[in-house]
Amino acid sequence: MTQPLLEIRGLNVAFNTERGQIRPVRDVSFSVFPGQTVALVGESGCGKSVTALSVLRLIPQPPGQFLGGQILFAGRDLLPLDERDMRSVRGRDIAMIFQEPMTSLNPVFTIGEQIAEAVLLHQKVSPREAYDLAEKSLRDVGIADARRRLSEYPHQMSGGMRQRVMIAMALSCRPKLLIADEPTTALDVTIQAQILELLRKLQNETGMAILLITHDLGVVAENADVVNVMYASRIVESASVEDLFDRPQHPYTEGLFRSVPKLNAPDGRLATIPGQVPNPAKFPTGCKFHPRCPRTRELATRSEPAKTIDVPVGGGDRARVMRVCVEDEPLLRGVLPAHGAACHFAENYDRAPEMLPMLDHRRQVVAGAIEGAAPRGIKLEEAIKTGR
Amino acid sequence: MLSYVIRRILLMFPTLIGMTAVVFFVMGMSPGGIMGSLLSAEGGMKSRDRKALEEYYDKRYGLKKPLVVQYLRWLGKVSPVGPKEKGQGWPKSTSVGFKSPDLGESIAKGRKVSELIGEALPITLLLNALSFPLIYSLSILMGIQAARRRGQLLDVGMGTVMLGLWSVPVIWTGVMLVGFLASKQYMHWFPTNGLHDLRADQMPFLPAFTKAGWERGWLLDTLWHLALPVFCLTYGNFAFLTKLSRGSMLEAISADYVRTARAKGVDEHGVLYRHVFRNSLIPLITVAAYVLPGMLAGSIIVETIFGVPGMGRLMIEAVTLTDRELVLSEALLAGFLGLLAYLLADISYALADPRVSYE
Amino acid sequence: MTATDTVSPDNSLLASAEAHVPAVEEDLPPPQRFWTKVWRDTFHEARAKVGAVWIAVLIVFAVFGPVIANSHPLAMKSGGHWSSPMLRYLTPVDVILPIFTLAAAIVLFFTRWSGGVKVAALAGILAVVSALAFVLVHPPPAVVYEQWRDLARAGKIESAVHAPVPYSANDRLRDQPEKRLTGPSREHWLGTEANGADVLSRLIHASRIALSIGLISTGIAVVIGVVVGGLMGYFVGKVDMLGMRLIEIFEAIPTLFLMITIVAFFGRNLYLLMAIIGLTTWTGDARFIRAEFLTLRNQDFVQAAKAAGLPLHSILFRHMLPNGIAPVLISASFGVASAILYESTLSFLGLGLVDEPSWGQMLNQALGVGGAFVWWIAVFPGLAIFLTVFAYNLVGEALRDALDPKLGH
Repeated sequence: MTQPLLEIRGLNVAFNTERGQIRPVRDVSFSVFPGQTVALVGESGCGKSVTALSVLRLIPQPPGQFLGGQILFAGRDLLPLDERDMRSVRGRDIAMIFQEPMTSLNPVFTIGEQIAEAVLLHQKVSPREAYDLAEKSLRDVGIADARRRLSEYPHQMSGGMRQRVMIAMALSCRPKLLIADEPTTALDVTIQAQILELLRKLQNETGMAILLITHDLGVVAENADVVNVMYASRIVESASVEDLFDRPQHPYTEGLFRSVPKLNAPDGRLATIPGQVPNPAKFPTGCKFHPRCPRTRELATRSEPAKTIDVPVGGGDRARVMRVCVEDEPLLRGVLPAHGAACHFAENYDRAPEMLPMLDHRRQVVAGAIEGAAPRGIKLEEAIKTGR
Repeated sequence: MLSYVIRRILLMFPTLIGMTAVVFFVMGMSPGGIMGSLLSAEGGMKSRDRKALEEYYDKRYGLKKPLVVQYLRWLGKVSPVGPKEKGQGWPKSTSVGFKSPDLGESIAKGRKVSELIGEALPITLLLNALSFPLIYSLSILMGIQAARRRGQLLDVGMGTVMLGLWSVPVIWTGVMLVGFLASKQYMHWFPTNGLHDLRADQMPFLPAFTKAGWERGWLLDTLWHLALPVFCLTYGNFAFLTKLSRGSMLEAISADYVRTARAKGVDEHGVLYRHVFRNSLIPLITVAAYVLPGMLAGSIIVETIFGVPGMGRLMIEAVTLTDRELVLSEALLAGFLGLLAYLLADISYALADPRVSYE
Repeated sequence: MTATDTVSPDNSLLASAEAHVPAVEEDLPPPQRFWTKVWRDTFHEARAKVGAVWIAVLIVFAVFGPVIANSHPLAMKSGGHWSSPMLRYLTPVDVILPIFTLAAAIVLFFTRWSGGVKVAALAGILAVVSALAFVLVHPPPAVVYEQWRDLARAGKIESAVHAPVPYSANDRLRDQPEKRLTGPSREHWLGTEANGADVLSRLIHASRIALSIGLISTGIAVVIGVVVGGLMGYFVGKVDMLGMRLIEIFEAIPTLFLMITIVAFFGRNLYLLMAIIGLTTWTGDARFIRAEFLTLRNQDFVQAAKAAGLPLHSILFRHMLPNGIAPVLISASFGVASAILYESTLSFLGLGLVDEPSWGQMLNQALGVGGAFVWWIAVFPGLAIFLTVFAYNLVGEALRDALDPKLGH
């Protein structure tokens, strides 16, 4: 087995606010292998963005604080690095693109100046050469008339084009890992597809790995090799993309799939996961999902009363759930081969070993598909149909 | 951009006309009429002077005519294009054309208005030209320091201190400074009054050693006289701009593009001085449009307290002596300078922020 | 504890952090009324409290001035019976102010009437009380301040209760000319002026002018600004263009210059002064209201009001204005500070009111006779101006922070 490119072990991030300390990331562990696309999935507020920012140590400290854990990049722990060494990692070995391309680019500098800045920071070239490299990177991301675009300002471009510029800027120094934090959320659906296709093409060409942060299961289905599902600061499920869509083990993941509308489903209300994502300042005890979890309630109806407990579930309601879900927070365990879940009532949970996800899986290319020309892999709907 | 500037300059004219009309009619509708009431502490003018004043006004404007006509006649005299004498201006043969503006004569002071203004204006401009860069450079520096040390001692509470500094009335500061630092009773660190020493004409320009010992020199002497007035003009605006600068720096620092810059590997210095700095300047530039007219008002007070013979003090004299010509010309000039300041501020704003375009 | 022991190194930290947390998020507290919350947030900070305290002190000075600083004894026993010279010499305004302030406090804070009804009630009370006061209250026309001291020296007064500062603002110390232009002492805590008036007494009475000019001028500016800006923002088109030209003209006029001109040509008059300050400072408020109304007019509730056929004044003032008033309130607080500064400056330049005491006018005397510096007439009046301006600015800042959505805690 090859070495992982990025290995996160037991990452804990805390924020010290005037109202106390909150922990948006707890005990998060996963890895990214070279050339892999790993997705980090969850709703807003689950801690995925904080995790992503932590890799590049872009969390302001204060009020942020790293409480133990390691972030190993090519074997080297990034957390204890001093700022100078960290800066040489940023943009060169690991690059990041963000969600809002409009505000993520400096409005008073031209595109050329901003890309050239990235180049000049990490490569020993003259400013003129940097500009030429900037132009080349614009062409690589499919922007026509690149030379002219160099002297344009961000506000003169469309959203999709700005995101291409961001990608060009990020890739200008050929990083080994690209962290993409919701890169398409702010874009139109058609542009989304173009951007994702661009990312895949560039990944093929450069062999870089991608850590893809998203809440969109469709994006995950079409692009990811490995999926880590996050809920309320923890990873609750971790598997290859096929496995995840085939047999989700965690009730939250199941809920996510159920809430995706299907074309051929009978009409009726869209299924949702009732309740809301908990506030990090006020996490529930035990399993963070228990107030919203249908599995624990269903099990409680069939269990002996001693093993259940009546708890408030938000909005003034109460429900009867399994006691162990309220008292004991489940950790990620390998309930199936190469498939981890953090739920007391996942298959085999009691006998499963602790799991530090090290999945170097790559997705299967759909037979007959031409490399890079069409979306490879599973379509979301098919995945759900073949699953439960 | 050019068409915008031209448009703005053309728009200045109706605004100036409107403004001077307001001032004219205010004077005209007062109880003393255009002649004005007599407010000098020394008492009324001698009747002979008053007669001379009446004759002068009548010849120029026709005191019996309605106010509107009088205003239009003034406008005609003052405007660089309008009715004129044949043989003067351009073209020489016509009675309407370009001519040099005739601002009239100040009867109370016995001199042409244009001369009086010509003497006073450069002094006020000097005062403001010294203050303005000081204000901006100091407040930008303070803003950067506050942004670098956000949350620390320098930053917290600076907002309130600056607010306090801004709240200190200029009249109080001026009086206290003159009283304590520039009078013979306490510390005589600064000259009491005026712009120059009495022997200023005889001084060499630069400081030098002469037979008599060390000579201040005209340059240093003038600066020494200007030190306190400039301080009074500066501190209030400095406090205001520092608050603004700090606020806009902090806002810029938490912007998304700063996060992108850091992700690229830019160091703190680069983030602050390259990315944040230019963005944070934008609100400071827009605010200049309000700072400049405020400084003009400040000049009035400061020049009066420190006895500096500039436009501000001329304004006070004009009004207390109810010298109509002077008042009108001052109003015109002050309005013009104000509008010019607005225009310059808008142009600078467009230059600084590429998102802004006046097409 | 079962499977959750062990792996995570700071498990204990996790456990202890969670121990205090209830199982599920609590429900949010019931929403407060918007302006109640704003009021609370504003005065929650220390700096706003300090500012409010000084303003309260000033209000007490202004309203109860005759009781605090007066040459006339509050109560006096002479020839066997008691009398109150202070009461006898009260002017109508002295009577109106305490009564109206009390009524205003009750109406504003202890009733639940709507804004419009409150304003109407206040106006009504003011009218009635003023009419009664001017009809019923007649102080003697000639005031001899030193008569009480003369009587005291002659031994005719058996006992008397004096005001804490036993000098009126206009008491020229005709019986003690040697006490004129003296520094702080036991009798005159802040010294005396060249004409004999007690500095502390004048300081206290000048607060009345300062506050009234501050509040009324700003009130005028706000009214004009709201009306002009509101019409501009609602009707847009030609009305807007016309209004902008008007604003530009008024902004082009150097404010202080215009004030000085008007005062010089029209004479000194308290109401004129208030009107002038109001007329020269309304443009800022107009711009704010115009901007707010431009956004508001396209919102659904305004469209609904229009569709329902509500009259114009109702749409503008009952529906749109309360939503857009926030920046004007902030500007009003700063506006009071700047109005007080204008009045002080005008008085300082010798263009203020003559017989009423004013801080600015006192400051003018500091660099007085023959260039000699009289420090107690410079320090204390200037300090009063500074504290007042600072207080209003502090409240304005706190209000701005409370209303700024970006700073929601």
